Amino acid sequence: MSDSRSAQNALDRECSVFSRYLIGQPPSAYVLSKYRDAHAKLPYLRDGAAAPFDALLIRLACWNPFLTRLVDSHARVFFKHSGVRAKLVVLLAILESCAPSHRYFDRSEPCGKAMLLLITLYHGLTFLGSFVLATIVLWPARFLLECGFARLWTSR
Amino acid sequence: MDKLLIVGSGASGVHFALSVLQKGYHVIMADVGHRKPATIDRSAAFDELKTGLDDPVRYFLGDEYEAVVSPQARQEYYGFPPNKSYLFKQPATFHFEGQGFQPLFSFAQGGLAEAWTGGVYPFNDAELGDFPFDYSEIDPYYSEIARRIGITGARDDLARFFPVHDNLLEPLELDRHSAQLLAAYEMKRRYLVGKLRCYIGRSRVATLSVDRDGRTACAYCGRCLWGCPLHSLYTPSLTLEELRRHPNFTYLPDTYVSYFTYDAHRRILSAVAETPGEGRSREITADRFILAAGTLSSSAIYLRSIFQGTGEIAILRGLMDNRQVLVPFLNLKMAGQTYEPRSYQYHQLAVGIEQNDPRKYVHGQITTLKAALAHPIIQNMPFDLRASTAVFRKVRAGLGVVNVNFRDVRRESNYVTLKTDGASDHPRLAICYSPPAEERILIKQVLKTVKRALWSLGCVVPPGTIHVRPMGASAHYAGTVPMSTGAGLHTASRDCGSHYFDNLYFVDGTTIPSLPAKNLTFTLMANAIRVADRAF
Ligand SMILES: Cc1cc2nc3c(=O)[nH]c(=O)nc-3n(C[C@H](O)[C@H](O)[C@H](O)COP(=O)(O)OP(=O)(O)OC[C@H]3O[C@@H](n4cnc5c(N)ncnc54)[C@H](O)[C@@H]3O)c2cc1C
Ligand code: SF4
Repeated sequence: MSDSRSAQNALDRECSVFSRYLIGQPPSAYVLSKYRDAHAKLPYLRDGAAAPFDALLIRLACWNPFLTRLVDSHARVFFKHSGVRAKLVVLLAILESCAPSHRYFDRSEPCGKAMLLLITLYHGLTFLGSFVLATIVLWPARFLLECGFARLWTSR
Repeated sequence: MDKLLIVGSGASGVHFALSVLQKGYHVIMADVGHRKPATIDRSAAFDELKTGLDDPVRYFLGDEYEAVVSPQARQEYYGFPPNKSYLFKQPATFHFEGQGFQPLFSFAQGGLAEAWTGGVYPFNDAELGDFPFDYSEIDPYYSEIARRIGITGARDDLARFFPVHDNLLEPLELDRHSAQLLAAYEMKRRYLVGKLRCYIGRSRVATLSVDRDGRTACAYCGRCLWGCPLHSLYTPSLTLEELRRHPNFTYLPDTYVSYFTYDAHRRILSAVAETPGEGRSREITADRFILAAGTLSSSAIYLRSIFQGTGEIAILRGLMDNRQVLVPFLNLKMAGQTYEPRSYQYHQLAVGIEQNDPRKYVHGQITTLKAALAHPIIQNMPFDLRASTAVFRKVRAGLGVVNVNFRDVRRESNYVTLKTDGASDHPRLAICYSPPAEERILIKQVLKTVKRALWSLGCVVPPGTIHVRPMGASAHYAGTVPMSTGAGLHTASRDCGSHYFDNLYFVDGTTIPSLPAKNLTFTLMANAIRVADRAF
């Protein structure tokens, strides 16, 4: 398989995992093509993973939606400007701009105040849980990378 | 009759031109004049564009994804939509540097107000205190501009701050969230007015609530930010179209005016202009010259003219701009409801915060969130993106922002001048601005009032979300060659004639002698036709 073909496959897989993480739906063919196009055009998406820890976050995040959530929770607090957040935000922007995924953003059943409180509490707690778990796992990894394992990791 | 050369087709230039044409003058308008892209699918509502367009991502985010608000860019909450990028394209020979100031320049047909949000508020007598005329002199011109562009508003609590001129149209239909806020204000009025001196009412907007002059009443399609497809929201390019049908009007697009030539009596003879990208200069002659290129560009042309004629680098002191602070809020009463993408998108309510000195009035516009891209907000919510998206869907109908504006006055330390690189024929415009020392305290005090007012209306301000915009961001520039009753070198007469050049007039913000908190463009347009009426 050519390099460009495998890079394209990797982006498609990443997009698919991220889309399922963000809105619980697989991406359409149009979204996949836009995600690839964005990577071709936005330097900060291509170069975002220059730092070893950022590269680690991206690798982990595209494994499956559960790991994406762990990584994103951690990045939300400690690495808001990381490459993985940039990729997720670009995909979010693509998903909300086209059919059918825009409906997830634009349409929502009304709910009462108690329900709203419960929903917010649920999401707040799951965020907190994944943040704590992610931090337990990712801090040591970051420490190791910063202590010189960077070369080892990036050469893999 | 005299031949007039007007530089610029923005809000100031087009209304001045219309008035002098009506008086029988021959008018040439020189303008860089970048053109807007064609409007797509006029009848579709905001949400229908996402399903109906072949390539909706390209429309909403741009060819280069420039409308994505990236967490890495650390930019403002919202960028401009891709179809407005033509507004900010600059000629290759135009250079500037800003110290403490991030200006916006437009070289487009219609100028910056092609991207405006249509807030139009007359200045009152207190706010006109530094002007060489009072409200009674400018009132008929406010009424005339209201007739031309169509302004909606109401005679409500804010009339104590906004004089009521003629030709005010019925207000637009309120969106549900704005209606709820206004009802909450009525319930809490005693506290808000009595304790906080905070008044809320309908904002005045240049958007039609009825069909008029070939324009259609607002159809509540939610596309305002992307450019009104029905021309219900006024933009100066509509007046430019009207001018171009006039037999005495000549429009010169692709014309970048660099400077004026003049004789020993400082009588201007011609404008030296070039076609951007071509580099060849040509001269345009006229009897009188009118600068309407926007305060900063007009200042640049004026400074370059002095430099070309004398070698002197002048300094124009007193640049002003309104500091703007964005206060996002969540209305707990609206949270959980469905949101309405098919609504008027911009502000429908305004807030006035009274001060002991009426000149220090603080002005705000309340915009409830309707049709807009969600990712800039979602990424700033306090959870991971999945949780933030899920919560955002539920609270969207309750989100909004108050854009709080502070007044500015002319200060010596804020100026525009030129910088040369020796050999270059094109000196850079240099802008230097520092806010007054007491600004921080004032902002803090006012924000306390705004937060208390919002709380009493059932709204909370999420911690860490208040954003103090950089100076220059409001694009309300003024004051570099002020109107004055004296005859200082770099000042203008009460009818905006230059005291330096014999036959030069300014009809944009350049001559505004102090800048109230209210958006200034309505006053720029009214003043431009006041000058046309009195000096021509
Ligand atoms: C996002 C946004 C929202 C806004 N909202 C509001 C609002 O709600 N209410 C309000 O009152 N104001 C608002 N404003 C401010 C408003 O747009 C400006 O006050 C107004 O556009 C000033 O008009 P002007 O004609 O003086 O200058 P400009 O709009 O700057 O127009 C300048 C014109 O001169 C031409 N030009 C410039 N230099 C040259 C040159 N060297 N040679 C030839 N031509 C030249 C340009 O092509 C252009 O046509 C907003 C601005 C922005 C950016
Ligand atoms: S003003 Fe806004 S909502 Fe009204 S028709 Fe124009 S784009 Fe649609």
